[in-house]
Amino acid sequence: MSGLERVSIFAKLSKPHVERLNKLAKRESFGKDTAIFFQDDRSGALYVILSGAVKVYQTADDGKERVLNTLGPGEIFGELGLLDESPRSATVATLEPTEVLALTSKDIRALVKEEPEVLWKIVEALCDRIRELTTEALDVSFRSVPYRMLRMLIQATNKHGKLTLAGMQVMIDAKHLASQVNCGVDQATGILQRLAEAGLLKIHRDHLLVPDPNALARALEYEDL
Amino acid sequence: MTSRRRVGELIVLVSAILLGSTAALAHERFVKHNLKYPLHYEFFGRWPGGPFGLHPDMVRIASRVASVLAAFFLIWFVRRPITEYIERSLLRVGGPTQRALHKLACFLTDQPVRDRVFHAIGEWAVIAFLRSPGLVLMYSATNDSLVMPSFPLDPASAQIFKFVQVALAILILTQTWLPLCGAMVVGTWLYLFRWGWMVAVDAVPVLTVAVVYLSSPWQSHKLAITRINAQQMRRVRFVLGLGFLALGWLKVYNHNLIAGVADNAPSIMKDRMIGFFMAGTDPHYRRECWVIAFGLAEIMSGFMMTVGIFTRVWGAIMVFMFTKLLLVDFGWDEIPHIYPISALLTVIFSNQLSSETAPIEALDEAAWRAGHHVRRLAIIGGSTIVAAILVVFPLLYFISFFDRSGL
Repeated sequence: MSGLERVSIFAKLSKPHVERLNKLAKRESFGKDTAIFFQDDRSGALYVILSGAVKVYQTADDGKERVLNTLGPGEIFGELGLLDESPRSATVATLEPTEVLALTSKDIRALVKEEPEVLWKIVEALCDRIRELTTEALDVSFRSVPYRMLRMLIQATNKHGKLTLAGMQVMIDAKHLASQVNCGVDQATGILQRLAEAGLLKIHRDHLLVPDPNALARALEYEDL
Repeated sequence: MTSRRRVGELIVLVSAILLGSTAALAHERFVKHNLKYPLHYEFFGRWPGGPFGLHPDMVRIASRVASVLAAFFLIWFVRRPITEYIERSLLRVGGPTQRALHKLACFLTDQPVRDRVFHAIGEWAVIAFLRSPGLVLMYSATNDSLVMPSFPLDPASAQIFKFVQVALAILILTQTWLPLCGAMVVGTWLYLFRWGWMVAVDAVPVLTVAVVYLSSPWQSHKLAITRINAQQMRRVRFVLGLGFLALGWLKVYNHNLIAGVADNAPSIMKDRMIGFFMAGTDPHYRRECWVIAFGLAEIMSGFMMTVGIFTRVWGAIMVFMFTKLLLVDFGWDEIPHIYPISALLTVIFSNQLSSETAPIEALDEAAWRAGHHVRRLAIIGGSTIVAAILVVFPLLYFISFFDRSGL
């Protein structure tokens, strides 16, 4: 099995449809720190993450990057271009070795004609993204940087944290978090160190280790608003 | 419309007319680069027995130029699949190497290059582009000429016109009333028609900066203008490209002028691209073939820029050409070429490039998404062939009916 049946947008599909999609879908593997597609590329496929993690980011004209989201197994990306056929609005790059399934817009369109439910699922995924962006916009207006960073950290741990004996391993660093919450790298490093001193996480060269994700989630309640 | 705006527009018109009148007094002569020995004029006219009544070598050169033009058109339409294939299937690299290669691909295919250094050069180029006409005017004022040393001022009116040029230069260098500066530049250009359309055509690239000045706010002196928006960039590209396109046809039409330049500076004849276009032609007509090849090469590059096909590549080639003219071929006399160089750098380092082929590409993309490959082939192939033929042949054929030996 390719893994499509585990993805929520295809969960309600009949078995023959899933099998047909499995045949059409192209499985692709990417090493760490590899762009799957770039901002402004023409859009022609929707991707489903089978394993690994990716970051979605936009780059301004002056080269400054802003991380919009991090995605993990079971999540989809590239759905915007699939619907409006406009160029990619962001770059998607892997945070760790990642395996994805690529479905061309032509195949998805053919499937939607037969199973309109798929389109609703894609719309649901889009709604989730809009909700996340709205929450983020509110956070930027009303929440402090430490709060926003802690929330992003919890989100990343839940989404694509890897369970190890020492806790959950998250493949992100201070630079990534700083870009996501729109603050300086020095400030992000300081906050991470504060959280590490409180025993909520351990800082490694290329990843963070969260010994107890529940403790991290509880910390959000006491974080300065 | 506010009364303040009306006053502003009135100032623009009056100033443009005043400057035009001054230019009328000042611009007395258009200096030719004299031929050292005559051309074979029969080459440029009707050639009995030749294809379309043209000299076979002329048709050979035109066919090569049209083929190169068609090749660039074709590559342009399939540039995205090509770069996608190279990046994703052939190289398959990650990390900084992938990002660097992607930026290079974006640069070559006129896509936005999102990079700190690229952005900084772009800002600097805009600053230089908007101010370089001021430096050129200052230079020409000290050399008793109008813009270029080849446009000398009449001694009777030189003093007045030198002051006018310096005044305009100060406005430009301080970025004061840029719309007024734009109107003055356009006014001067329009008046050049009094000395013949060829003089005005020769000066079309000067209008490039005028389109930016005219679309700037009156309070320009309060702004740090470091970027050019998409609409302005489209106009800049269009005027710049059209200028070179017109200059190319002018070279083909007024063959004496460019042949005279080559007679006086033979080093400009050593160009590999021109050499390719005229390879295998009759050595007896070497200078004539060079004139046609040089003119058509400029028409080709001008057309590409006008339409927006590989704008950065052609811009970079032109920057190289102008820099060579400035530093190697002609030296200090060509210092006003800092203006076209900065204009071209502004275009090259802009992330606001667009293409007039967008409607054709939209049709092609629709066919690609629908999986209609034959339709794609018809759209791309058809437009490529039609463009390549129409750009080169009809006007070349039409011009051959005019006797230009006495120009």
